[in-house]
Amino acid sequence: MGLVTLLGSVSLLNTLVMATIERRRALILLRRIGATARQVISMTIWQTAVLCVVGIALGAAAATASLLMVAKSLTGTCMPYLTWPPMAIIGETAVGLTLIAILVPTAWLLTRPAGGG
Amino acid sequence: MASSPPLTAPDVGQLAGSSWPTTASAGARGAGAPSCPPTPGHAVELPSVSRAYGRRRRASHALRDITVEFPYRTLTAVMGLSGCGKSTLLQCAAGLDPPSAGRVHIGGIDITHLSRRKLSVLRRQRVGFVFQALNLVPTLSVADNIALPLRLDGRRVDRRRVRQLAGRVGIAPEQLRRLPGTLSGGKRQRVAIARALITDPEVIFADEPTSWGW
Repeated sequence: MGLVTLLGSVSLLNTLVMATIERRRALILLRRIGATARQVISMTIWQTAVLCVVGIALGAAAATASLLMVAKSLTGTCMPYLTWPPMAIIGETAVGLTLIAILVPTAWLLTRPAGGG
Repeated sequence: MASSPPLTAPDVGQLAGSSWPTTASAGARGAGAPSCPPTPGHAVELPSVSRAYGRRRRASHALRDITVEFPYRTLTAVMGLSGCGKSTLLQCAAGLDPPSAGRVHIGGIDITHLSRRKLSVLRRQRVGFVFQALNLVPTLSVADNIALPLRLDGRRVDRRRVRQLAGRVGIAPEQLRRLPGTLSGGKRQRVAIARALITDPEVIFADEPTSWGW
């Protein structure tokens, strides 16, 4: 469980940091043509929120599909045993990591002068 | 930057000597909008501006005490070897990069000590930009790219004006819904020019706008 979480976190962080750095030029362009740092940050937060909702929905759907099959074969019913605290922790960790992975590189990009190419 | 001599006032005098008043450019600015009255003064003024990069001892001077004025309704071309400070001049004059010494006025406003937030607002309200490459946001349609400065400024977007402006720079109405990536390089620069014009700015800065890349 711990190892899976760790590996998942690393790949999540890696993907999001790289994606943000690829958007560097678009962000610099926005700053140059007059977006304030606050506007860029709030835009990024909205995008992160959408990403989290979609990601958690897709992740939950994939997990449910496999859980149902396991539950069916082990217990004979389709009702898996769910406990909320671990699920909440997983969701919170995913949201937290996503926020960090996107906002830290974005903030770093924004500290540089707008002219930077 | 270090290898070439910095731009000095006499250099700019020569290099920017091709500053000629063009009635054509005046017409281009005012055609769509209600005819703007002739504005006294200069669109951009840089009295004795310097810009150095790096620390004191090893600083390389891109601009050394240059004074330039860009009057309204004129077209100024700045030419020079690469690394001689053209881009630095543009970035200082456009409020993208603060000068190390001297002042910068855009539309009569001293922007030298404005906060970064106020500079951003000033850029989107009073300055138009056409850059050499990556001028457009790749995930926004052509129409949205043109209207972007207005949106950032929280203003209502007049679609008819966007269409009209696009038409004036040679972008057909059916191309407005496309993404920039599906247009040719020249067309993308036209879109950037339309975006620069949409706010009816005091001045448009273009950094090698015709040698586009992607």
